Amino acid sequence: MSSPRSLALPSIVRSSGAVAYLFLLPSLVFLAVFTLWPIVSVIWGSLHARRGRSQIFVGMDNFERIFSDPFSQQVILNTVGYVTLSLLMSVFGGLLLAILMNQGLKNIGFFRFPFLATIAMPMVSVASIWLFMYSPRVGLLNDILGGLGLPRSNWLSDPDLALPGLFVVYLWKQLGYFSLFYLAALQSLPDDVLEAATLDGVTFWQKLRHIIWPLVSPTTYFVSTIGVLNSLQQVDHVFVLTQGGPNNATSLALYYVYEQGFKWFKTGIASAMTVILLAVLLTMAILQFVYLERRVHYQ
Amino acid sequence: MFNRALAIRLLVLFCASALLIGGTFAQEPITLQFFYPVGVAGPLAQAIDGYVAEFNATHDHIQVEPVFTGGYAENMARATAAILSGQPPDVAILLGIDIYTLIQLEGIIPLDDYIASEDGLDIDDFFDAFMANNIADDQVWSIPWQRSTPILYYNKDAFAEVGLDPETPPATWEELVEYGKQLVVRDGDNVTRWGVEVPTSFWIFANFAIQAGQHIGSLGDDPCAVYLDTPEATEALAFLRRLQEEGVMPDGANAWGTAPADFIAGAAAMIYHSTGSLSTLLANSPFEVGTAFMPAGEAGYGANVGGGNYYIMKDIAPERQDAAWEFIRWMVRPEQIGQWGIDSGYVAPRNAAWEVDPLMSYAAEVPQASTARFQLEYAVKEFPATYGGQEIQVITTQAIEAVNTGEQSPEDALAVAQERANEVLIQNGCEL
Repeated sequence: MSSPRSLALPSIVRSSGAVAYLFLLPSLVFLAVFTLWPIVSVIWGSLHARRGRSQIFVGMDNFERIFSDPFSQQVILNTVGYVTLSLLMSVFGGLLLAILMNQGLKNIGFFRFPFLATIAMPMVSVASIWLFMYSPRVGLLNDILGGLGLPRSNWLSDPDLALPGLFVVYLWKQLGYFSLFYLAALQSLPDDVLEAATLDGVTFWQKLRHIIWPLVSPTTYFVSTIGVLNSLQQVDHVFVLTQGGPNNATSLALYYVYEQGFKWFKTGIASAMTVILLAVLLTMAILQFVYLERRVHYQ
Repeated sequence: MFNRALAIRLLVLFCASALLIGGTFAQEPITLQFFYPVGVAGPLAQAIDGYVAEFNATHDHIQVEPVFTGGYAENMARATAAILSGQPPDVAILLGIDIYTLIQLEGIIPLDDYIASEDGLDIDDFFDAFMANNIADDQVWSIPWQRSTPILYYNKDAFAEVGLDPETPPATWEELVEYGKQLVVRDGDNVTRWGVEVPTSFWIFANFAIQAGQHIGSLGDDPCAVYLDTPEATEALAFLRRLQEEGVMPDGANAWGTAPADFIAGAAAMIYHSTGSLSTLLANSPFEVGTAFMPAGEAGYGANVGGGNYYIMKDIAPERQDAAWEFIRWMVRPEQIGQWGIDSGYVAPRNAAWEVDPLMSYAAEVPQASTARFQLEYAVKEFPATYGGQEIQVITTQAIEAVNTGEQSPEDALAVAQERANEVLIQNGCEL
């Protein structure tokens, strides 16, 4: 039997920090293979265009195409609108829902459950359920509207309604997720502060504005970050419900990347759009870090 | 040392003889990977898996492994990815219109040598319209399988109910509008039954352009031809819009998959759809289903063929290609492809299939099964058989969507589509 001492490393190795790198190595390898290398290769791809089996260097051509083509411009606008709305709704809608769920009602769990249950459902199933609800002639939504004597709509085929229609599906599924964080934050708020405010005759609105909102700001910071990421990543409902149609009205950035890259194998355009997405996300992360982080109130 | 050298020699001898024996006596069957899509409603995947199982049971030296790859677009995407990665399937059903894209990818081989060989195929037996998309550079690159044209399906009970003759479907565009108006049923402001539903799709639109007098794609061997901004195409698209403005067809874009469901539910009295949906519609409609040629425009009847063919891939060993040919040859035997026609509703693409059972008796029993076959007389090469065809499909469909949702006029929408299609062609090396 060898003694544990025999495992000790020579002092030269220990002092040079090699041990630290040794322990970091597995993570570094994965980071390099699955994060750094794809970034390098997507940048390389964005400067090339595929013809047949060969890749031709085209410089910034792919980016010019994306910014000059009205259809990809529309994709960018769609995405900006969708993400902005998602940011607002995940913060304000999430907080509002959390406040409602935080009421000390009897059987509050009964009311919380439906909002939280949607988190566990896969987006594909959710979208399939909504496909039926939106269906123009046999769908639930139009049945209800028709029953009430209201005009029916062809929800997903109307270019003005289709993107909001997708957003409603996204919100229906994800709002509970965001409110969950707020619910946790609300439940950890100090009771004495809120009680004192109530005794001082502060209105609900003032309490929300001056006490709750600042106190949950770390959560707001967190929710706004994942809200943006989440809305950019969810693409399943586009596949199931509209496939980007009608006439490009519901094409979002990630769907565009899929369509260009994996349906038509225009890897150059797909890579260029990915680089744009990456740049935007990095910028946002830096801005949020520098600006929001400073204003967040940590207890 | 001596012992060691002897041991090595013995080992080598043993391995070599093991290999030799293995190679001689236990010949491994060739396992072919076979990609196939399903493009219409119905349990077609089961049918294909069933045929493959039968093929495998009757062939010791070839085993085919069927891989269901989704709809046509996903199927092509998976095949393209596989070709680009250097690991293609051995044999695949892919759209006829993807021929030039596949040639450009160097993904497929021409089949002329196989066709002319001793174990060949009587290629002249196949209908001309179904061979139009299979030939490039005077070579045959694919063998027809799930081939179709759109046809007009109509609800005979609804016709009788409003006083129309169930045996006289509309024969012209004008009659389509007229009959459509009579077939519409309203409940207050809501329409509970539409006259006709035309899916918003490049594939259906192409038929209207042909009926108006000018195909939107090439009729010959030209992978760079797209004719979207012609007066005929504009007239065709304006007619589709007119169906909506006259209150005969639902407003907005109409999904490909919604039309059969609406027809079965009685929410649309007539639909344009692939003949591949025939079996599903016949089996599920609680009323008598009529089928007819698509009504004629100014230039008469016209149809754009469609569907998938068998292709053999390039980057595989010659013996695998031979095995793939044997499989294709077995699948398109007249009895076999006739059975497929019955199971699916696709038009059996060769004469011989219609002259033997089971299809011969079936066609006598179910007259609807022959509509698309007789319409072939007016059928031409499918659009868009071009480079970048997958993208041009979407571009064309988007133009129709823009008009069907009232966003753009037919002229503007088609001008945009033509420009975008040209851009795709130029990107693929076409000189326009």
